[in-house]
Amino acid sequence: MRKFVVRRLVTGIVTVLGVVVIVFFLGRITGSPAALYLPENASQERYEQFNTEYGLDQPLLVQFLRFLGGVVRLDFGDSIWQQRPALEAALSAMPPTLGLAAIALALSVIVSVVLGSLAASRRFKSLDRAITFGSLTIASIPDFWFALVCVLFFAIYLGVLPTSGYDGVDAWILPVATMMLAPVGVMTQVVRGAMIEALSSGYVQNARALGFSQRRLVYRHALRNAALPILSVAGDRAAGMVNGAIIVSAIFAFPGMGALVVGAVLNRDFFVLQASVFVVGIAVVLLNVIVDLTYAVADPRVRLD
Amino acid sequence: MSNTERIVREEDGFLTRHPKLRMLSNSPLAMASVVWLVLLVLTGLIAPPFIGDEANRQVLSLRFVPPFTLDHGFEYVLGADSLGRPMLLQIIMGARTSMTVAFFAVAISALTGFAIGVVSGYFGGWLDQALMRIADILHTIPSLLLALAVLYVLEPSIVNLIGVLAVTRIPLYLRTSRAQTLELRERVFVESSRAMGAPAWRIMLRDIAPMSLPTIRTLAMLEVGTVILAAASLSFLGIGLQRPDVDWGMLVADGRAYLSSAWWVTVFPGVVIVITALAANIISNWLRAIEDPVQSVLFIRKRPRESEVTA
Amino acid sequence: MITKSIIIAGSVSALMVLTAGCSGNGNTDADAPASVGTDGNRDITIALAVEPVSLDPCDSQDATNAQVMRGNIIESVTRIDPLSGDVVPGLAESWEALDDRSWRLQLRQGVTFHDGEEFNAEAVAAAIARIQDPDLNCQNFDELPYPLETTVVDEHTLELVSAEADPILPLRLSWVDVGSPAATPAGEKVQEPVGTGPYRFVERNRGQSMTIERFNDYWGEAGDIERATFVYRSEPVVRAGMVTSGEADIAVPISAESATDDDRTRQYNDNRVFFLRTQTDRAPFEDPRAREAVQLAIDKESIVGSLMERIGEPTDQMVAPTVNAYIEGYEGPAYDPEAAQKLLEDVAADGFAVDVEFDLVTRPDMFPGSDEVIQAIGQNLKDVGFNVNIVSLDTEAWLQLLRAPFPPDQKPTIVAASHDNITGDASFTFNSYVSSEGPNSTVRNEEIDALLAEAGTAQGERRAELYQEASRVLYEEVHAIIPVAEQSKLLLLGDGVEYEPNGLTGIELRLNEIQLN
Repeated sequence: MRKFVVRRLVTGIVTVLGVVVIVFFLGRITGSPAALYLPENASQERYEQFNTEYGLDQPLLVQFLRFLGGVVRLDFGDSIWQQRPALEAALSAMPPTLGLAAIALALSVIVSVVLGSLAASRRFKSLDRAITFGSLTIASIPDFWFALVCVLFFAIYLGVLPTSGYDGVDAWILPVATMMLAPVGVMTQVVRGAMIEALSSGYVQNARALGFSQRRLVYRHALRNAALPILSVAGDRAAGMVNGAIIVSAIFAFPGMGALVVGAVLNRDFFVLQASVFVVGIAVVLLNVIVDLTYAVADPRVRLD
Repeated sequence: MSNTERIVREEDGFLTRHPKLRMLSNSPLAMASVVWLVLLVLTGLIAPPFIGDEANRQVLSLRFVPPFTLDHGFEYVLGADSLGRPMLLQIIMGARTSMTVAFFAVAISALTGFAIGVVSGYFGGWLDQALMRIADILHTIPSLLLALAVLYVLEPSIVNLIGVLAVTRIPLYLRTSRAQTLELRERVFVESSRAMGAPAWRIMLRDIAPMSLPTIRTLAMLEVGTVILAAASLSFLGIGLQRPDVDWGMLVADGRAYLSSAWWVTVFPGVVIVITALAANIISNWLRAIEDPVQSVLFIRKRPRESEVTA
Repeated sequence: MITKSIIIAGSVSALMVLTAGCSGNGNTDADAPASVGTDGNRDITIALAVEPVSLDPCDSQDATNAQVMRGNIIESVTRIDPLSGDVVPGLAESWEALDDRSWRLQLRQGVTFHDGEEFNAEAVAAAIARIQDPDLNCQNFDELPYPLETTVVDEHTLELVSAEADPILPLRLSWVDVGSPAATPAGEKVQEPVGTGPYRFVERNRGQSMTIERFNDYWGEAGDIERATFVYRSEPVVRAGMVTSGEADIAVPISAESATDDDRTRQYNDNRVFFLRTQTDRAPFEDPRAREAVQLAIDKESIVGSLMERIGEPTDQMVAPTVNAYIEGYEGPAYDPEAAQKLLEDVAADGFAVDVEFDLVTRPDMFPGSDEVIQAIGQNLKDVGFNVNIVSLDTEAWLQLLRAPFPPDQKPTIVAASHDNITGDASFTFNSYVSSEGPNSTVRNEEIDALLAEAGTAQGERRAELYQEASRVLYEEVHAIIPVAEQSKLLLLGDGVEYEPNGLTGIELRLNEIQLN
């Protein structure tokens, strides 16, 4: 098991480094952001000084090597935009996003398991059709449109929820709901499919013939088998959570990675962008390792190599 | 023999000869979805040359004309936007763009991912490892982030948008086709082709590819909805397309400042996005269901006749 | 098995929520308070669009930084009276010109900084030195274009000698915001400003909010507000919604869509003009007649009338009426698309290419609804025969196109810009956009340059005359700057709050001027 974890982590880190390298080059293509940070009448010398200060005047290859050297020491430079170490900015933006993603994902799993199991056990009856149609619809709603409409309705028209911000449980409701749309829509279908397959398999038919109650069948046997695809899909959605966070932060002014990344791109702050991608990448890798381990624990057939 | 095949007799009618179509006609939702998508594609292909100018004509005096009246002509039945352009025509123009982007993005990513996955799975070794690492990288970057970085650098255009969307979706097909290839290449029929001396490319093309194509196709249908939403998100953030290219996401984004006063500018394009993505999802769901013998029972007949039930 | 997984997932989530809650708790005290004014509640919440980038006093030229800081945390040496436009005493009580390059300032006595330090002449000298330090990259660097030598005569007297004759130096001193030298070191920018203002900096939650509270030893009159929290929301609908729902007490600015018809919505003019700047050195704009055609092609009255309701008035001049370059009663040419077309044909007949494609460049956040205005303008230009492509860029990319130099292989552009000038003096606009040396200028006109040079050393009436003459040349001969609209902004007040905005509200939201009912 340990060998597995180590190997996955190493592969993961290589992946993350690859991502950061790509972002490095993408960022630098835009050139120096000096125009944003210097006053209007800044002379040519000051532009050059700015570039020297942030190492932007070196040839790209030199900048790249310096950057790699920094990464090894976990030094991502100082943020041009926020005047503090880039890694610090990225790390401090993680907790709200992690919280949001974790809650949204956990709730999505619970909701889809419940809905999917219901649909599967009442297969082809009206409830199943309703749930299937409902989940497909949910998966088709654009998250930003949903968020805007909710803000309009719940916050402005009804006034029961805050329009934005971060304090208090009620400020989290709409952001979490927005982030749950796509996962719930997709995972309900996955659960339903997996449950149907499990419920109609040979040994479950036997158990039913032997007189076990439907409930016991569903909860003990079928769910267990459905667990694997659910986990796999949930793990897959981890990176997608950051996408949701970007939209959510734009509309609800929710702090975290989404806001930081958009701000870094707008302000051409390469260092923060690189650090953010690195932090997010590591988080995704760790999450995938956890999911794989849970997978292995849940299914003894899976061998960890 | 699957339960959708049977011996064709002379007296069989049209629907009996085409079991899949019959199943389609038995499921109203899937039928409606197909009709909607076909309608969209047709309008998107035919209408723009006729309505293009009218759709983009700014008439400041018709700014924010409300919907559901025919006072200003049929094209204003869904209201007008902030520059007096008719919503109905704008949505139709957007249909062409959105469908084009979705089609090409899905097609490119599916074909590329599929091909690379088959090659990677078949040959294995270091090539496989390298390709998987690249796929991992693409998978780990949140797609919106990648798009942000890329589209800020390059100019927003239809081609670049398709490119970004296609690239971020490749890993999905790559993984699936690779996994299937890994399994298929150990099968007897592949073994026998190899024994007969068939070259690798022929094995991949003739034996392996056709077997995993259905899964890819279903996946692709499912992705259509996702890609439409992703393109809309990019337009919403302001890095998608720019006028005069119009897509649904841009329409939603443009209208968001007027949500409380001229709701139709945002709501109608949003509804169209939902319906279209839903249609794609319903069809893909249906395709998946009919190919699963257990689930396809539903689509043959509500009360299955004896001769057709297998499960 | 599945239960185990759920338990694991559940505990991990719970852990994350706890960590998230713990690290984000800086805001729990700053929860939106109950309705202002009730139970003697004197805390308010103000919703702004953008978070300040820098809280250093020497960066106060940038409106997003200034709006929160100026007049609240930090104060400047002189001030501009928002109603009359005159330079009035700030931290300096009086000043006199010793000769055309020297001034003596008498500073206010009995003023303390928030950290307890005494306000004196050395503090002002230090502030000036910081602004002029090229290595510090202060935004206010441009406001003091000539090197200033400072001499501390005594605790409250300061002498300034300017390297060049500069009659408007007292005006420039309104951009010298003074921070406590003890807390504002010379070589680096600060994150927590310490000034002399009626409010002191309390804390800042990056990306979220900033809080300031009353400073009890302020030298002047205290206002009603005890504590203020500024929050940032980029969506105008959300900002306005926060006031309607009671989460915020003031939202500034709001879009015309959210404006109410009662007295809760206030309009203010921040001396800002929206205009287009064409190039002058490449097709299709080489010939001034082509540029004149651009001007004639745009239907300002319709566009501004329909699309900028309550936030704009059509104008033919690039400065607001408060600026000395403004020509009273001047009217530019009216909308005449046929004349524009004719001009283009003439220019083409003379051998210049007029169908070269160019970009009409704008920013999405220029003002609410700016995208539509640009689209309407683009349509107007197309209708007379120009080959125009509309491009909306983020600030950094837009700045690159706005600023010189303009490489010859760069695609021709018309750049849309929104520029404010609250000083009343045209040098702050013309030296940038109209002088041949100006960083944002595409104008290369010797006559204008001569007039600007002379105006720089002139005063009062004569100065205004010269700037107005330069304006005429610009509008009637050069046509490189095409004014579109004089802008206004809107703000929304919650119940229990009373505030009358003025021309400076965009850069100075003085809490002292807010009254509670």
